[in-house]
Amino acid sequence: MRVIVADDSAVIREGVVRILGAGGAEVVGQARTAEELLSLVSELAPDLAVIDIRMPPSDTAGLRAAVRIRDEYRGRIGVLMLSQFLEPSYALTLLADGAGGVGYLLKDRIADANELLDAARRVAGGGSAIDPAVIDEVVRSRATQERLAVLTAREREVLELIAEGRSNRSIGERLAISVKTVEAQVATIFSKLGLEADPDDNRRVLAVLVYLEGRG
Amino acid sequence: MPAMSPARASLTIGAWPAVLATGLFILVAHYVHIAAGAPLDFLILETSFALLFLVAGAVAWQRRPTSYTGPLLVLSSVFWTLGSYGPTGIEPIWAVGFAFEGYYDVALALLALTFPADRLAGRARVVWTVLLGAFLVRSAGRLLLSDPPRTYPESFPDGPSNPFAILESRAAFEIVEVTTSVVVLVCVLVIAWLAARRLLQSRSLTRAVVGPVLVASAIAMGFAAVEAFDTAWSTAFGESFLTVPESVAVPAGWLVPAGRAIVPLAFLLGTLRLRASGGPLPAITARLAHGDAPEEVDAALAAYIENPELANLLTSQLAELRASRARIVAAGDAERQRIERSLHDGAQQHLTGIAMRLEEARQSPGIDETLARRLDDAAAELRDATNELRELARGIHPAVLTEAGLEPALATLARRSAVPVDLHLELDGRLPTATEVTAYYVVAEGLTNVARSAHATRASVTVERRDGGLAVEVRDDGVGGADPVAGSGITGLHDRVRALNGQFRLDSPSGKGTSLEVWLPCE
Repeated sequence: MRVIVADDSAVIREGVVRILGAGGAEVVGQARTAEELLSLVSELAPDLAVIDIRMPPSDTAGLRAAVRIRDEYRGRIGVLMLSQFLEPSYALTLLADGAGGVGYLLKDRIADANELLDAARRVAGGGSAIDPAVIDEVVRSRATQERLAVLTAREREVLELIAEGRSNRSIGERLAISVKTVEAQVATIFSKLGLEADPDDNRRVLAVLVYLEGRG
Repeated sequence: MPAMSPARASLTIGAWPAVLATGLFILVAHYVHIAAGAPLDFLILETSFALLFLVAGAVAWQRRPTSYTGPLLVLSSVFWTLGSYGPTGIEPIWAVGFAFEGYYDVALALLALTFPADRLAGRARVVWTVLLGAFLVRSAGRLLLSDPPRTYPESFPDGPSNPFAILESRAAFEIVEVTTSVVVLVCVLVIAWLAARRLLQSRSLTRAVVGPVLVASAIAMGFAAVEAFDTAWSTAFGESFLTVPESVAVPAGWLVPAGRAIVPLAFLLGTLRLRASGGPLPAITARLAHGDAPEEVDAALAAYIENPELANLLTSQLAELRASRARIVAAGDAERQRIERSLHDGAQQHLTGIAMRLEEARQSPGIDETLARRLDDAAAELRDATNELRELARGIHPAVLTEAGLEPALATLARRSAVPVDLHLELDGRLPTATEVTAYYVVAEGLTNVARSAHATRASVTVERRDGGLAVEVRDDGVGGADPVAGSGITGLHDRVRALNGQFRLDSPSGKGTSLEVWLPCE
């Protein structure tokens, strides 16, 4: 896995590089600004770009660069956004049409090396990774709580894992249940919520997030 | 007794026709007097006083077009000229002049009682009405009950005949004359006292502005009292109470009417003084600039509020205040944004760096179990601190509002509300920062109040473009009865909205929910 790390903070950048390196990834470039990032990406064609949401020259430069990379290298370069903001709207912006290859992780999450590596691998592999805290934030809404009242506790657990971008197999491993059981529960959840079942892991992330945010 | 205010619409006939007509009247009267061979002192003084009233009236009318100070002074000029019938010897002029002389006192009395507020009420209204009544009765007596005049016996050696008389009765004439003069005497003394009292009770700045006119009016009433007393006395006893040596008869004779002429003089001087250094206008400006004594400034301004100079001054001061208020709000917002940024980009990054180092230490091979647990505890505490810091930063200024606009920022507010919120947003793109930030705070404060005190089961938030601006509404189905004064949050919100020149309405009938409606301009 060839990775470019972009962050204007040296502390964060070095930490991320260290963790990714220890996890077996090859960090091929480091950027401090959005421009540096874009030129490095076109020069080195990595598998993954880990990008700070706030970078010089302007506030949302990191987010805009991420969106641009996602669109220009669709399916070839994964984009993992590191953010200090617990903002579902940013995650939704990044997910766009739900094609995958994107991730939105809170910065403090990277202290846990495994979480960062897991997300990086999933995104580089064309999957999605949404920070659990962002899912919690979306689910906490009173209106959403009311709509989720039709689900059992276990079904809600499954739903939240779907929203994080996990595959059925990964959900099964997490909850120590079989993939078949997960599949059955996913079908129940989607039918209970009136959502169209989608076999694609990435598109269902988008569908669930949009539903949870009450924007569906 | 309800306040009486003469119909202001009648004043819109315009100052210049009235002033020109009066000027023409003075001119014609002047020529009649010359033709009748009036003495020089009469020709000069009589006309000067009439013109003085006229000029002051014109100035007052032009400065405060909706006040009746101007018309009253112009009317005084007319009455003054009308009363200057003495030397003509022309019978109808004499009869009308004699009947209607001195009416300027009625006009000046009104000025003394109402300047500058144009409000006549209570005791003042009673006494002025009685004064007017006495004058009307006296006019009727003089016009209809003819008697040879005593005023200018040399002009009418045989006594003029009054073409309007219907009854020739000396006794009836004298009774009416003495009675009305006594009533007039009492009235003008009361009016002088009322004017003086009003002046003493007014605050210093008000006194500085309206003082000259009130003092002059009170003095004019004093002279009116002297004249009324002399008329009553001379009618009753056949000779003037005030006998002066022959050498000073002419100046003494002019002193009493001249007493009234200080009113227009005072008005003109007061107007000039308004702008003079140390005068009221600089004082008002200075106090406005210091934001000092607003009540007193208000009272003083009531006097000259229709004065264009002061109106312009006020308008520009107000515009400047508004602009500076908006600037202060914007500066506060910018500062909050700066703090939020420094928390996110500085402190939070450092905490994350520390968390990574802790994790690194935790992963070192062969680590002692106790130490590992301690590191885990530290990491957990650090995570809490990071979360708290993130929430703190969001409370200070939501970054998403600046970076992505109202929609996601309001979605977060709705999501976090303790009461379920229906969010209706109709926005086309980004709006000016001040509008967005204020709309955000309106919704934030509105939802906070819903959660805190409304006992509501649902709330709705509507934000849409309307009338070239942004309409923001927060409603709930709670208990209502929200007090806009009690909640400082609402007061602060109101100030913020007003700073943007927006509109603010809090409707909270008891038991019927609360609705907060705000409109903000988008400029």
